[in-house]
Amino acid sequence: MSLLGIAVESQQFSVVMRLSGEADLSTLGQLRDALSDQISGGARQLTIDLSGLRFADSSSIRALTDAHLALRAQGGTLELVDPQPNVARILVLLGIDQVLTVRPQPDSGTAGAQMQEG
Amino acid sequence: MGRSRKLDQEFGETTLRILRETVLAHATDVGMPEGRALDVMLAVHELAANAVEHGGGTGRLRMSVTNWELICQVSDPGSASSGLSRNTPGSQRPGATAQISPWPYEPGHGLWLVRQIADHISVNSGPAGSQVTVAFTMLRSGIT
Repeated sequence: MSLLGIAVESQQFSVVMRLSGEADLSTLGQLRDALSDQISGGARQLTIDLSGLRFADSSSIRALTDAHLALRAQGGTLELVDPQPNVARILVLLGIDQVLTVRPQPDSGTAGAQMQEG
Repeated sequence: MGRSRKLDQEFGETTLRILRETVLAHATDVGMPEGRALDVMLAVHELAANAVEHGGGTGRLRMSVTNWELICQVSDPGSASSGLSRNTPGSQRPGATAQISPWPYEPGHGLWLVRQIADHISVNSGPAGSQVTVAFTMLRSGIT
């Protein structure tokens, strides 16, 4: 059984991915696959809800930043939302909060499908 | 009959979680404040993950306590890619896109992170593998 839970809600090009449990080297392939599935499936606005994630290591954070770069290259965005203190600390230590949007709380309501202009 | 202040544990990819729990409990047990115990856990995890990923798949953690420090030594049996101590800034994963790499650390290499959180770090590597030792200062509490 994997340590990491991944739940996905999609609305057109807007996708919310909820991570739960723990993300480490043993779940890295699972996380990378889930992210690349969404990006290759057409997601352009990817919100990663971290509220249920108790632990993330640097390899898992790297998977998220790689997904951010891949999305950005296609004109999309990736946001991290509501990290627990333990995960927020590693984001700060790695300087991720400087290059990625990290929001303390999700938007009110569920993920709205915000269509990109153009 | 005091508690043992030493820990000696082997690990592999699938036991990293158990290792984290053990380290957190041990660090707390020997008197690390909660926030710092989490740092110890994170540092040991990153070193252990490096050992698993680059050092042959398994490794060993030894923890001990001096009067003022918690010392954690992570060793791996070594592999062609020199395991734990591999920290060459120019290295690239196959297929990595070099032109877009704004991150201040190397893929999968938690050593950069460990350097930020540990009070002291020393790295030794050779044909028989690598050992990384990190130390965390323990402030004396008012035990009388």
